[in-house]
Amino acid sequence: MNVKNSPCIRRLAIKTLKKSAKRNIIAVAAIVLTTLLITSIFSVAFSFITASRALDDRIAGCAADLYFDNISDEQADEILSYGNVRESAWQLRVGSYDSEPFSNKPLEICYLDSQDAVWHFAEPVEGRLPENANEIAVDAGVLKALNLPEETGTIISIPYVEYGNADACPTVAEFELVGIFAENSIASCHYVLVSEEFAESVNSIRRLDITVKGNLFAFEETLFDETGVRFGEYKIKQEAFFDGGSLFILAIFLLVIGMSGYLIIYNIFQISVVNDISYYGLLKTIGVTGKQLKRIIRIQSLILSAIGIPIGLILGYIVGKLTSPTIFLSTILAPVADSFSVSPWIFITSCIFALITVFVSCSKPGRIASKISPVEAFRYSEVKTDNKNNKKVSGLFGMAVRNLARNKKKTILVFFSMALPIVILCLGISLSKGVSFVNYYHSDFAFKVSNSDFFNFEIPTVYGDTPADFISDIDIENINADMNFANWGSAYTTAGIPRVGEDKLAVVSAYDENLFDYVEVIDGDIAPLFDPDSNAIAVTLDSNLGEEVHVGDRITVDYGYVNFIDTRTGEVIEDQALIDSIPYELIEPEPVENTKEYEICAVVSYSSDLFIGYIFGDSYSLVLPVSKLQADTNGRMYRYLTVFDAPESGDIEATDEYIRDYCERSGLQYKSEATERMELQAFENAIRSITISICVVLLIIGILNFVNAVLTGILTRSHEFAVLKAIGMTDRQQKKILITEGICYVAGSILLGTIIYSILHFPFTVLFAESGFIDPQYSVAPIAVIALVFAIFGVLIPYVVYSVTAAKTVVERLRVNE
Amino acid sequence: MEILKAINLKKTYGKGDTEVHALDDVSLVVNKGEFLAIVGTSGSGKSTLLNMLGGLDKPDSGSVIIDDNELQKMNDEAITIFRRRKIGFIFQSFNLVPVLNVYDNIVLPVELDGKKPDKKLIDDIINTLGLKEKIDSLPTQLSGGQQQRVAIARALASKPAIILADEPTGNLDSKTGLDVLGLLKTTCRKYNQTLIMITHNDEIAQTADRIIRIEDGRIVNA
Repeated sequence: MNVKNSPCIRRLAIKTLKKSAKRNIIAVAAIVLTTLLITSIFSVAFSFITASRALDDRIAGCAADLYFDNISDEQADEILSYGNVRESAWQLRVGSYDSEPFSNKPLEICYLDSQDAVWHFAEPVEGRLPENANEIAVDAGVLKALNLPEETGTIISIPYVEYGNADACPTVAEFELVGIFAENSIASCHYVLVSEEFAESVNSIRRLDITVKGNLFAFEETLFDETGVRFGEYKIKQEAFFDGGSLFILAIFLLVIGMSGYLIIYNIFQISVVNDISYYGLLKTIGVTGKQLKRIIRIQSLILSAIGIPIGLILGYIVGKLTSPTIFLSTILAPVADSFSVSPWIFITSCIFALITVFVSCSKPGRIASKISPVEAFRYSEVKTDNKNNKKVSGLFGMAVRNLARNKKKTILVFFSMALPIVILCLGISLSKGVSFVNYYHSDFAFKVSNSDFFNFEIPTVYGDTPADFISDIDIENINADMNFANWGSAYTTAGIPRVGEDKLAVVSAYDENLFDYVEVIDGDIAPLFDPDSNAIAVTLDSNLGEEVHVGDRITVDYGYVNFIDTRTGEVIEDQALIDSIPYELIEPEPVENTKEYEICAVVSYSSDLFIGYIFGDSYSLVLPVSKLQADTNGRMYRYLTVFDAPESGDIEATDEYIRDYCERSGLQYKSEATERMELQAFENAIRSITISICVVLLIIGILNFVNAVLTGILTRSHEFAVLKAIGMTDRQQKKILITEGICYVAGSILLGTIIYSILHFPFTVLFAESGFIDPQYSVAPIAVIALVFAIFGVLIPYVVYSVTAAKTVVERLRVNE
Repeated sequence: MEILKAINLKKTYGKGDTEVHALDDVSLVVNKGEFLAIVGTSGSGKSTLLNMLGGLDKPDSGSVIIDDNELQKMNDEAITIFRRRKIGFIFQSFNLVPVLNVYDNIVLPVELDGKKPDKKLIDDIINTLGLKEKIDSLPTQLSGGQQQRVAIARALASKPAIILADEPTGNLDSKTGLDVLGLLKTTCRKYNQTLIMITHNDEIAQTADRIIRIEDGRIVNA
């Protein structure tokens, strides 16, 4: 039979809700806390995505997705009306300049319209964008490099090589500075903005920049097919921003928060249902069905959620916004640490998560209420005396222990939730204590200097041109002139990736001869390498095919490359920068063959300091002296690293400071014991702060569960305590029982935590043994800190909660069940 | 010999229109070894009176003197300690401590007082009430009649001056009720206990030494 009674049930639910103001406050607080934690996690996660995108944009120097060079107005109209183009902007590319002092971070001279200036992070913080032919805007870094003051009105001479003119020599133009913008420190070039008037007066390249709605890959795929327009990408947009590891951590966080939110909200509803069980029994007696009782509880939880979730969402968003920059600062996202996501998905997902938690939490109390028979309802107490052990217990302590054993499930739950922060703290501390610098960093050289490409394991892209040395001759000369190193040397590799046979690759590294002192010979002899007439080569075991060849074997390496021909002139395009400016259709690739046959003279292993940083699948890793590689590749090689031994002066600290300063000035990077020590320190700090923040969250959750356990314990036994008082148990004795119970919880959880930690310690050690520099140290000392916190709460909470609940008189409490 | 004296007890619940005079100037004297039955309709004030006599509730005015001790002069802690030494309570709903077995429930008031139970007396009470077989059982493993017998044993264990029973047979069927009442009377006589009992049942009330009837917070025939 279907009866229309929902208004009546709703009225009942609201009336019931109004009856329990105190519980409502606690429940709303729990919902707020759960939502807050979930929202802050989500906003940090979403901000991570935003920051990663922002970082990509920053590195690319432009926030647009695609660009189109030298297109006609008709083509531009076609692209812009193509659909899925979100926004577009125009720029006129005038030229570039990459000699001193801009050899490491070249100048890019162009006109940008207002939208493109935003996309290029070139909005003036002082002044404005150029409007007249003699005006210019630059970033602060350019002024610094030119030793000019950061003042508008300054006259600047800018050298540049025109893009549109293949044979152009550098020209110098004089401008008045009208705008200054912040330097994009991680971009590969400085932008120098000129006016449209100026750009049009020279042979500039017209470029259309666009951002794309939705899936970029799909857009690109159809664009070329349908319009035939050639385009370029500013950066490779990643589809998935979370790798497995961070997804796992996110899932763990959500699980822990969801679980604890569940425990808290569940407990509160459990308490209130148990408290009001006779009331629910009464409702059932007068004809409210179990299903309707469940609905009454669900409606109550919905109303409380309607209050708690919005507050939690707002607070969580604020917390996320405040914490994410701090979190990002310790990661590669540091340059864009202030980026923050405002995605509505943060709120939608958090809200759904919080609602699920609330509903799941209320389902069991709802079931209890719905299943209770009206007669039982009047007698219900949480007590389940399935205790077969009826032996005599002595005194208050015995009673306390018996009380804990009443609801074993709940007690164990509290034990675990309080043990968890102990385990996390111990593991985290043991981890940070187990970090060993000696095992972390060992180097044959005091300093390794190169650029960011080397330290980020990037392989430079080449179209037929040889990449510039990662560290230039001038830099090495400068450093040596200032510091006078006795022993130093460089490592080199080929411009392209050499092939061996049809389908195998090789990484060929070459060293200055003195660096061969650091090469260990495993088999054979390296002496033939230095014989100019020999065709000897050494192989290492770094790559997978290293073990398949032996001393005496022959190996053919193909150093072939591709030249690009400008079909208009029939000549090889020598300047790589020009490739971008010539329409695609007019360029023709021309493969150039260059194979060399070698005989393997030695199997070697060299200092890991010299390692290029990458290997390929199915490849050989080969070693030659630099003179040989130079000859065999016709100079198509570049320097990837220079290492310096301790300076003559012996003052490592001062040298480190000098090199740091030099690298900062010239856009280089370096590694030394000092930088590695700092890196490791940062790693240790990160472990410690992560441990402590997780631990604090878990601690709060553990204590909240403990409060709940004590509160439930007291509320459900309020009648029993009244009886005990009636037969002569004083308040002090009752508090003593409760405090004993509290201390049992504390002792139990500390014991459990210690046991779990001790069990986990060994697998934990094994897990980190692989890192080679972390050997977690077993230590139970951190437990003392938590034990102290728990002990205080263990005594305080029962005391306070009892004092509050004992306010009702014995007679009132006795009457409840009669 | 007077063991209990209540003088001009007054208690009012609520205010204004909802004001109820639960006790309206009640005075009462009980002698040692006496069995007094208090009868009255529901809401007449008999439970309030019993709670006052046992120090569970405080009168607005008037005083209760038990064994020369005036309850109103003691603080809550002192009354509780006094209660476990001088007063045995028996409730309609038994009110045993669910985690303790029969024996521990019986000796609880004595142990709460930090004393050793009088082994001989306890054994004697247990035998008299027929609980010997059940001393290791938990309350939930007992029938209603057995539970109430345990409650009686608990009330007697500390050799109190006075036993207060609030409808001790109210939750039992009539035969078990009579059995339990018989045992209660027998043991009270045996240990020379004073018994004040609230009941609805006239038949049971008739077995008392004296009956007082309460109506609207007043004793109508003392």
